Amino acid sequence: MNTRRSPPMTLWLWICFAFLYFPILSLIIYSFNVSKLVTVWAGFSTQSYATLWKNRQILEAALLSVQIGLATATLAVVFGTLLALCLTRLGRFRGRSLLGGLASAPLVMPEVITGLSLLLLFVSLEKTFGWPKRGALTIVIAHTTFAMAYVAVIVQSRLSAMSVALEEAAQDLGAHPPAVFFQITLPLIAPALVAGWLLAFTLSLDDLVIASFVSGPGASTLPMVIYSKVRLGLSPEVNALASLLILLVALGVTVVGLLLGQKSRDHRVVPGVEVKKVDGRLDDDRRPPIG
Amino acid sequence: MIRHKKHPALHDPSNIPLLELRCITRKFGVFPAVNEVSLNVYRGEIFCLLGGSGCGKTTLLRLIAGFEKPDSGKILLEGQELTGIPPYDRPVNMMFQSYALFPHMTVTQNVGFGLKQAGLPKNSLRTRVAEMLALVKLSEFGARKPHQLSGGQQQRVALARALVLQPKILLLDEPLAALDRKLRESTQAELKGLQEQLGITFIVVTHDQNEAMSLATRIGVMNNGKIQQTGSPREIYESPANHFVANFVGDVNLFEGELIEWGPEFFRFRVHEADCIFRSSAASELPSGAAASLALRPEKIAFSCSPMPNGQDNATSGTLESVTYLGDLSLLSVRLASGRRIKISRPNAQREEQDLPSRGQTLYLRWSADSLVVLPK
Repeated sequence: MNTRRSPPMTLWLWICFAFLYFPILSLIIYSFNVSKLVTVWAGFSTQSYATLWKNRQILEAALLSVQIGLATATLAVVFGTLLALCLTRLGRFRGRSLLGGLASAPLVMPEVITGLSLLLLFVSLEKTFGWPKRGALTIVIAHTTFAMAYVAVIVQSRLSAMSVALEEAAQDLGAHPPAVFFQITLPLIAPALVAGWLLAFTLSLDDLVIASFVSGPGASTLPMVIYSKVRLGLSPEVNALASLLILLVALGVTVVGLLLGQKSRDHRVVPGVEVKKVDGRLDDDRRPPIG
Repeated sequence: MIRHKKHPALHDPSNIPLLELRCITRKFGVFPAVNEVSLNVYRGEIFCLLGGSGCGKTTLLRLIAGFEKPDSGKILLEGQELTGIPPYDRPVNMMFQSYALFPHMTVTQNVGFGLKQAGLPKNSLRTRVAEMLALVKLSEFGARKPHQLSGGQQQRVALARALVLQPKILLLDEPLAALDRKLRESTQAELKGLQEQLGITFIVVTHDQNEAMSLATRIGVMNNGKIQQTGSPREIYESPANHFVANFVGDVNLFEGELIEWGPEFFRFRVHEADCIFRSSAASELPSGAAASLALRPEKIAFSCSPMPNGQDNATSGTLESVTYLGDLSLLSVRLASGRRIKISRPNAQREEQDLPSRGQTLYLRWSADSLVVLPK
């Protein structure tokens, strides 16, 4: 599509871009500041990156955050997908709307409430059973409970867009339910799973409130460390750290975008074959992936 | 009484049905989508379930495929109970209305899916798929994805995918609904040819009576979850069993009459609307004075512009109100003295227009006692 935008529209577009990205850009620029004072520009250097590399506390927190993120994202995708399957494919069962409501509750629940209630749960569990010890494990459990809801929403929308007839056709052709799931359903909802996984990972990575509630001694995630540092005054190190995170996220999103884009192009065109448009009946795969 | 030639399978009393539905009921909530349906389908038939939307025909098909479980009743295939068997263990395959081709698989993978599930070795799988693709004339398209095909090609992939497992019965849900008219006609012929070649029994669901007429060896007309009538296309059209079938299949003029006189070979009804006596050569047993519906197809009515002697049975007159030209035939609407309109159709045998009477002219109508169908009230 090659539509020409009018000049005022172009200007507006750039204003929007500036509004969205200027704070991030200034953060990246100031991470190369020589001065120890964050707000005063004193010249270019990569000094703060070097000191960041030597800061064990930050590096350990970053590692812990990534580990928690990986575990959370994977668990959330598994449980969220099961939840979405339950809500879209089991028909009407007793308690369906209750389950649906509970599944989406974490989306609207204030984080403070979620954090507090989980803390109370963990404390009483620990008192009664001696398990779980508060720390990385409780953070993973807490993050999974709310990230799961996001995954469920994404997968659910993909599943309801996917015709049940496909699964029925597979059954009709002799595929038993597990074969139907792994050969038909899973490949078709894969883009939603990837999107859900990334979202869950990001949510876990930047959560501060819930993690602060349910964490125990010795388990400080990256946002917790940054927050405690900022309270003692801004430092270029934190800027550098933030810039690296942005780089990482941008790389991840780009790679996934390229992969998904390539996949849908594969579906679209076979080299040397001109594709005719089929009376407007497009299948799901030509729609851009969710997320 | 008009006698119709029956399908050979139905002639032979020793012939056991391939598929037998015994008093099947399927309710959604309290609403019965399929209501106490009993039906026999014989080997080698193309059986069409014909009905409007929501009449239960698709539910009936899904019951046979195993996607729905009947609330009561039994389904038997070759005398074996099929009712509790899940869809993946039934020797029955279905072609879906949406085709339901797997979008992430190539044409070859789609057609080979069922064979792969059956655990066929790679070599024979490849041969069988290639044969099937050749049969539906899609050999060069094996490497394509479904959305790179036209609607007609997609339809043939869906057909090949369902046929490759050599089912005892192939179920087709509105197989031609998504195709345009020209393609539909040629595909109908192909479908019939394929069925004869492979000898697989077809059960086709359709809302299109032309499709049912041209495909079917037998038609079952459905309404409100019940089968109203089963019979050959000719039986359904020429001897409808009731009001609904007469009205649903083809055009019809329906009159209300009361029996006034009958003899060994004739029945005479007084029809006030048409201000004449209808004489029929056949009717089931009716008491004197009983009310009955009389069905008269538009093409069975002859007309002329010159007056006929008064007081004859099966004759009346009216004013020509409109003529609708449809290419192969014209539809005439004639208004009787009572205000009742009668539809008459007539083939356009000549190219000139003056062949037809003009509007406002008085037409004299007549029809034979054979063409009248008496329907019970």
